[in-house]
Amino acid sequence: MKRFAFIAGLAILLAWNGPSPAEERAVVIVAAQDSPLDAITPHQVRLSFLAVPVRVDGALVKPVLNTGDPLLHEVFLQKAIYLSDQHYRRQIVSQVFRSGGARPAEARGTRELIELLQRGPERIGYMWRRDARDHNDLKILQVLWQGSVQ
Amino acid sequence: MLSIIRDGGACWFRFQRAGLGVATLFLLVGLTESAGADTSGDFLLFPGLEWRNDSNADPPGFATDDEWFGSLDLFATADVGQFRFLGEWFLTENSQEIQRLQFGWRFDADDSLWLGRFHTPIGYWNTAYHHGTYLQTSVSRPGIAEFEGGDGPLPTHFTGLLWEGSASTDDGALHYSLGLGAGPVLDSKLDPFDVANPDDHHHDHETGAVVNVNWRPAPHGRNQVGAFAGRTEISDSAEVFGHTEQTLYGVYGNWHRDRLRLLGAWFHVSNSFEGIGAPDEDFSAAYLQGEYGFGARTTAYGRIETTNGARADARYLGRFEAFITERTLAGLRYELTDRQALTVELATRESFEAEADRVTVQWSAYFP
Repeated sequence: MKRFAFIAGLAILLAWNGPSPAEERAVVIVAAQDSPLDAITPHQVRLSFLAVPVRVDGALVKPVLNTGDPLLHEVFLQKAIYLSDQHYRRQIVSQVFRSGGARPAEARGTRELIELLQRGPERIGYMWRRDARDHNDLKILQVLWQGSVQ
Repeated sequence: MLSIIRDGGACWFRFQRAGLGVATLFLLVGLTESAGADTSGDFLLFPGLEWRNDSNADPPGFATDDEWFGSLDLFATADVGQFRFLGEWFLTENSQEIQRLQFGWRFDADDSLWLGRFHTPIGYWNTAYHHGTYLQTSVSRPGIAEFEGGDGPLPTHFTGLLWEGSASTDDGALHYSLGLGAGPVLDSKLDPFDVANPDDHHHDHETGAVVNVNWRPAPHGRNQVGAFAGRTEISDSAEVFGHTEQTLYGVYGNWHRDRLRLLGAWFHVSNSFEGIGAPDEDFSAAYLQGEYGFGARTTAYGRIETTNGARADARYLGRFEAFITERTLAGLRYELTDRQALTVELATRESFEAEADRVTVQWSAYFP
């Protein structure tokens, strides 16, 4: 009985002892499999998501925000755009108000993002690499960031 | 808007014409959204509501007492291939005006040539914010950047050609704008060319040119330092001086670092009156605004504005009796949601006609 109590206590301690281990993840830029885009630089990604027109391989890139996963969206903005969500939205409105163009479209989840990408081969979006690998109808254009998240 | 209708047939006719223009504009954007791959468009509404109250006014008769001011700015863009369109329509209870109506051609990713009515690239404030009230942290604009239809002494709109572009290097990017076109006439205030009613003053609008260049360490980033220069011929419909050649130049900067932001500009303006042989009148104006963000939603800010050489008896500048010559203000902005803000601003202000302390409370937003 004592041995059982000891093992159970140890198991609880192990389960509760500290935060969960960090998970290795990567944020990738994706496009539809039939997209004319084959690669895009982080600089081009940043400009296009700042509502600045960017042409890659002759195609005018159309960015799509993926806001369904708050952690993914936050990591993308911090690592690729270098702005908080609030400052980012204000900046793209300012950019469009000043110079014309259009704000990025917005998908509220992976399924909606994939639908948008498949409807427009010039569209790009971002997702976790592990999710992108599950979809044969997407291709990865760029690994934007990789690291550990908790 | 109702007061516009009550004002009489001519005004209603203008209102209808402008409304037709805006309907066309919306249709264009709608078509753009449903069109092919090489098209894009956007549509934004900027509503605003302000309450203002003055105290300690000297003389007392110039105090603004418990005044409400509502406005709505409608903005639309469309890009179809290399062809570009941009339209902006500003409405208040007492007036409506097509602020911008631009048709453009994009030469490459960075350079566009526009034809139509546009914001003159003077300094920073005029092109960055203009009637997009939500976009600026403070409620008020610096006096030197005030609107033409308000008490601003500088031409804030041209109708003509605007070239905008940028050139990137490894260390940053040079952004440039060159505007050429018909400037305003001086009536009781500066009156820009009205594209909805081009017959108004069409013999009086003379030409101007403004160039603006700024350097940004990150291309299309927020941080920048820049310089501008321009020359505009302005005719006086009241015939006090007939005609002036206004030359202006200055520098500006906008710098963010973590939670801190500094924004400032210096202007020098010279007005010459060839027709009447009067001496030139020069003045300069400057402002510096500091902002500090507390958390994600609250921003405290302050601004000082000053002028040098601004005289109430000046032939040109003296016509703008409510032009702010000195102002110190402090304010607090709170983001109610991702698209709405509430701002409280306290200011001591001095113009040619009066001094007063002013409190302003503003709600501003953008949709969608």
